[in-house]
Amino acid sequence: MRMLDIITRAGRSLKNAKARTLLTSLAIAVGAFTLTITLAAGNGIREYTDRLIANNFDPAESIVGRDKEVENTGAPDTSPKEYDSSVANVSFGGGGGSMQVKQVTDKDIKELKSLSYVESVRPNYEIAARYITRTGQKKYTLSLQAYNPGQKPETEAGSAPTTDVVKGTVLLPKEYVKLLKFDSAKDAIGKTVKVTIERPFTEETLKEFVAQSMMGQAPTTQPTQETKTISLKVAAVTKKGAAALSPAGLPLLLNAKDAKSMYDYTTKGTNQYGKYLYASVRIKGGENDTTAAAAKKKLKKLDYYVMTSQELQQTIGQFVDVLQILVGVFGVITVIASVFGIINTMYISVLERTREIGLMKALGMRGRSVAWLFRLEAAWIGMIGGVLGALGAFVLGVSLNPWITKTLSLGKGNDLLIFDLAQIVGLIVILTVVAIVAGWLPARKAAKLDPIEALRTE
Amino acid sequence: MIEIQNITKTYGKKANAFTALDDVSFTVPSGASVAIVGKSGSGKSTLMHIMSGLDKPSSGSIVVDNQDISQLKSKALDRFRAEKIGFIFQAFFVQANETCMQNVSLPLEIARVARGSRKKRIAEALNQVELSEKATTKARNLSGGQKQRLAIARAIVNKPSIIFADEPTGNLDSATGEKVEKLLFEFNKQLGSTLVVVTHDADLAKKCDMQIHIKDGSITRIETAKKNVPAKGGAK
Repeated sequence: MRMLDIITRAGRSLKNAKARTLLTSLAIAVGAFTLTITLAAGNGIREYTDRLIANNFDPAESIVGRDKEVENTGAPDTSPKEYDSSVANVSFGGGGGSMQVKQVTDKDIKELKSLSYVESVRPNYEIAARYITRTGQKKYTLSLQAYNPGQKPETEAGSAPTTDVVKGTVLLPKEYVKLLKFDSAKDAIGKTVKVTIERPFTEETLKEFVAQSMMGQAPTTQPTQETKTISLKVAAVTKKGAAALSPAGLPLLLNAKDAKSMYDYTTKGTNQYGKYLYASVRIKGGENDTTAAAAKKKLKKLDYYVMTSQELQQTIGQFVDVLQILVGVFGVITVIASVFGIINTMYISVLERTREIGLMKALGMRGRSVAWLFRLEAAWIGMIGGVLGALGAFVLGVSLNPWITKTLSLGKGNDLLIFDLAQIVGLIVILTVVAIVAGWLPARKAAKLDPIEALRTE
Repeated sequence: MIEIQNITKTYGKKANAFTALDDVSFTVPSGASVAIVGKSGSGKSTLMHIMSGLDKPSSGSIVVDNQDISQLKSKALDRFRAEKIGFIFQAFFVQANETCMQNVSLPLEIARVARGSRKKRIAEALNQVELSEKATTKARNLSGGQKQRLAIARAIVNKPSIIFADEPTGNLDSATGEKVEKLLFEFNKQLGSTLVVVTHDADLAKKCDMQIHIKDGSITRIETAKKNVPAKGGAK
């Protein structure tokens, strides 16, 4: 018998057992539904994280440091290390623990800047800022950072500079517009804000304080912290991108030289002076995976530890993969359960149609053709189930997407569920094949049926 | 021509062995109508199964058109049945949920006849059994006589050289049975197909050119209505 005729006959016999076909298909449909949703969610999350990274990280920028923690994506290593004047204590977590990190020095920064494949170097300035205010307004907390054009911040007013912020100016996050009582974001442009930074206790003041305490008298003077207030003009007002990563709010963005002088001020006289936890290094053509990897190799030869933007992306991607596999396993289990449903249905179908099989075999139909008749019947069930499940998932996903986006506050234009036609078609094909495999044993039983036995009337 | 030579069919092993057919030999000329007559359990059905290539003998040979079908491999045997044999059963075995056209189409599909030429042949076969008007009717909506006529259309659509009819009128009342019988003999004469009828109906058997009486697996008597039909072998 020709395959086309077998397919037609298989489809026809399903049509004659509509309820049974539909119910068995529904079992497969549940699996197809779960898997379609899983795939769509995987697509959505991956696209979201891609956007997240594009919004928060410069793709050409690598994090370069002297400590191997830079490359560590897992739990930090807290074991003791050999002492070096460049080691800093970094506290982490809520347990009051701290970790020793070998830092990058000004000398390293100079060396990095001199490398031919390095476009720019941005040390990580952690500026201890006290508050921001403007004349006649209250004081508010803030965080400061050097501007990186690669991050492409979104602006509410003014525009993000292509190279660096003009010296003496600042990019102000939108939140401060209201707090500092500007009329609007536009109104803030060109106005002055005041940032106060603090210097830690110098060694001299501390020595004096300790000496006085040792003599058994109450110290005559309480050591005071030196502070400095800097006036900055607002160049632009930034806003959180649709996929901004930081939950803490945006930092004020500064000119590199301003940031450097502030950092120096706040660290002068301390062990931190001229040292940085890490530096962000922009590699020439670093958007390209191979260029970035090659640069990393060269930097490693100079004893630096490097985490490229691509590696960072992979780390997040791995997390998404694990999540997707977990949900996918449930879908696969459902499909396995429905396979038994198909096997059962097909056995019943063979039993019900013993006469028909006997007749077909008596009329000279090959056992192989009979087997394919049943395998294709199973294939139809798998395909119908796959289509129903995928369709259900698609309709539900598309209609729920706006609600999900709102509930999870993913930001406008971000969908959690992204359906890919090629994936869905692939899934349906796989389910069809799975159904054929499920129909294998019942089909073999049908193929081996003895026509004389099958046609016995009494 | 069908030559049955020393056919023996045994079921089971040694102590439990049961001989369904015991050294049966006879010859049926091409185009003849033959009745295999006997009570149930006489071995007449087994004989029909072996003659039609549904079953294989334990020993002996069946030569159909100079081809010993007892030596054929299963694939060739399937092909032999698909191309040369038409079957009609007492219980009709038409597919109730298929239309008449779909029912008649089955042997053509099995014989891998191209789609294009099927339609014409199906229509022709249905016309010959006077079921043209029922072409798109589902078989479950037919009467018993119509069902058997449909089965006849299915048996003749492939223009087989031999038609086997197993108690073709057993489930029909005498009036409709007569009509079915008439059709069967008509095709036997018109198409020149050999007709082998298995029956215990003496009236039907009498209408055949040749009657082979079977009892306990052996031929007891061969009657020929016409002198030109040779009776070879047979009674022990």
